[in-house]
Amino acid sequence: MIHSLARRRRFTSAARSRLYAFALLAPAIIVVLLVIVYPLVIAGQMSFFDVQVFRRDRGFTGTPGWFNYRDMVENAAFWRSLQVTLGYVFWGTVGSFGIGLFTAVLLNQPFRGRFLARILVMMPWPIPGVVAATIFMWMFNSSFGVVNYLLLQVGLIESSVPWFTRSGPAFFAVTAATIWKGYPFFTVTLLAGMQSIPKELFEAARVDGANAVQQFRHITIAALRPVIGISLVISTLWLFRVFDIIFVMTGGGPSGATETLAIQIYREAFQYFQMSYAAAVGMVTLLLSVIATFVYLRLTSKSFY
Amino acid sequence: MRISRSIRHHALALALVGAFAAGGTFAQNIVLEMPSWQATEPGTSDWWRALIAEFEAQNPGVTIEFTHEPFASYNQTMVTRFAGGNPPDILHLPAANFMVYATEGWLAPLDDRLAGIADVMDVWSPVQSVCEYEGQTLCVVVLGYGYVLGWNQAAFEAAGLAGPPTTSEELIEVAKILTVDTTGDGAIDQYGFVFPTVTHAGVETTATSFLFEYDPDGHWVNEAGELNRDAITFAWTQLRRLIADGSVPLGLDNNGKRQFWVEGRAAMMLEGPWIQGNINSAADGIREGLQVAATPFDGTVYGGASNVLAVPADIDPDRQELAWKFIELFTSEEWQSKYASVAGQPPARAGVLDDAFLAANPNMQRFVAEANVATDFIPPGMAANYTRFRDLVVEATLAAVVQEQDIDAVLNQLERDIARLR
Repeated sequence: MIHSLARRRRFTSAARSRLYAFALLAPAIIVVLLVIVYPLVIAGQMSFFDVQVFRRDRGFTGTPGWFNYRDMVENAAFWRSLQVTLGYVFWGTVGSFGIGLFTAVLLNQPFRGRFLARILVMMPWPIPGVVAATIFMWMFNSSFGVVNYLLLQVGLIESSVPWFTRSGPAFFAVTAATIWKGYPFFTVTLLAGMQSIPKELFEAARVDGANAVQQFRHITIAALRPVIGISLVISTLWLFRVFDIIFVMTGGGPSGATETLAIQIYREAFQYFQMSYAAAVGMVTLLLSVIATFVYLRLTSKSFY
Repeated sequence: MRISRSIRHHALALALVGAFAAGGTFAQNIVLEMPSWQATEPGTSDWWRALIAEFEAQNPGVTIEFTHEPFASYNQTMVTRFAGGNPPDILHLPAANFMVYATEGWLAPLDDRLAGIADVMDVWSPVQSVCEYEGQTLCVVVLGYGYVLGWNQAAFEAAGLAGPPTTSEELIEVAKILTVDTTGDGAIDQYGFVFPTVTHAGVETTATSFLFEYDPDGHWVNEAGELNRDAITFAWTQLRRLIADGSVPLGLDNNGKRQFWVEGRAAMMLEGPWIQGNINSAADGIREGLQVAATPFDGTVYGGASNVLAVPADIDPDRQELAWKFIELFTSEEWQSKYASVAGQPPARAGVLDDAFLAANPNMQRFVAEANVATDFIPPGMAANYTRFRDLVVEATLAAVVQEQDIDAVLNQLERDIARLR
């Protein structure tokens, strides 16, 4: 009897604290359900109907089916956009990560003016994408851009490159702007990760005769793996949905050379008003993002300390 | 208890007075909303504001809130507003987007109202037919236009050229002569001809103008959806020749194109009647040389309806009535005449400009003449999907002309894309 009473009291107390926890979480859960899950469900549902302009009062009419997905698979523009997206995400990630790692290593060293250098390196991060795109548009302008000027001065080109009229140069220009905008994120996260690595590990390695490259490879990089993993995930997800930089610089052109899935979704939904088709492309983009997240996390989740 | 009853009576009296006052206020102060991308355009916005002031003077208690929406996002904003059940009271639209609203059933039929001004519609723009959908008239054309050739007389005279070209062959030849390095530093200071060479609607405008020269009665596709291969090949080949000659600066959009011409860095460009605004904005010393002429395409002119006015179907009937009164005022002889004198654009209503005005404004003469003979830029059967069609044409033209891809391969891809569209 006493045991049962004590158990009930314990249970009531545990249930109450669980309830309390849920009550505290409830606002966040409600917000997530409203602004993420609900639109996602609507978009998923829409992708199986034939809706041009979505109107809540009309809802979804007609027979649902896979026709939007079938259209997508048969559409050469979708495959081209997918290819452009994968290239853009790959080069954008590689470039941002490379520069971010380099600057993080640099800023991790003690030197005079390090504080100022850190501020300068971080500058692209808070600049809005539209502003960054405009800066790069001027830099790559074929008539008076500084890029052509410098390339002409050092003799790498004989005449100005019309950056935005040809596929390769346009893709390069857009990716360069993206890398510039994105690398400080890696700098911040990797620098924070480097500063949390115990100094003793490097001292022990030095005692064992490891050189700087070996220390960097076997201690710094190995210790940073979880940080690298999560940074890559965040950066990749960002690159999948970059819109402003590409739209301002090229609008997805020339001839679709910079039309990523994000641009295609926008154009289908808000320029051509094929919202169901856009929703279908959105679902595929979401799936790709989820796959990329799993792959990165599996590859980089292990840390040695 | 007595006090309480007295308070209640006073409160009731106050409420009644308040209700009447409020009712009176509602009846006297109606605000009609009219968004437009032209609300900040010099000239055109002055005309709109003057028209609105006149309407408000004629309709005491009614005001029009004329707000600016950027052109780049205008259509998206309006569609979102309609889809959300919050349309404006007076709808100003780019004509190319009209069909989206018509097919969604968002526009009120105007046939009965137009019957009241049938005599006006008899002399209205020849492109008024763009406002028809399933046998009903759903809008009134504000501006019907034809393209003109902007040319720099000073550049022509410096090169010893008599006047603007009249065919595309002459254009190519003249553009080459006008492309010069005036300072001798190896860089081109003046190009002969300029058109957009990056993703922009202006690419379609340029290519279609050349296409019309080859086939004045044709278009990119016929009613069966078949590509006009010979005419397209001709247009792309002529544009390629201009680029191969180095007569065209690469990498410019439409704004860059206008900038080059206005600054005297390009001698010729194709443009609509809004070119007058560009001429007016040119610096002293350059402005005097900027002229307009017929497009050099052997008598054919690219054009159509630029923008329209419509009345939303799902607004209060009283507001619909007021919106129509506004459109009716817009069609009046006085305000059509002012469209030319204040906005600098050719009026949709014929016969409102007197000879003295036209003699003093030779550019306006040209704009009116071209608007009357222009061929509509929307191909048969493409009105409902025009935006996507135009984008396909832009990308195909850039691929064939600027990126020099194989013309047949680009045509085949364009054909497949258009087949999907239909």
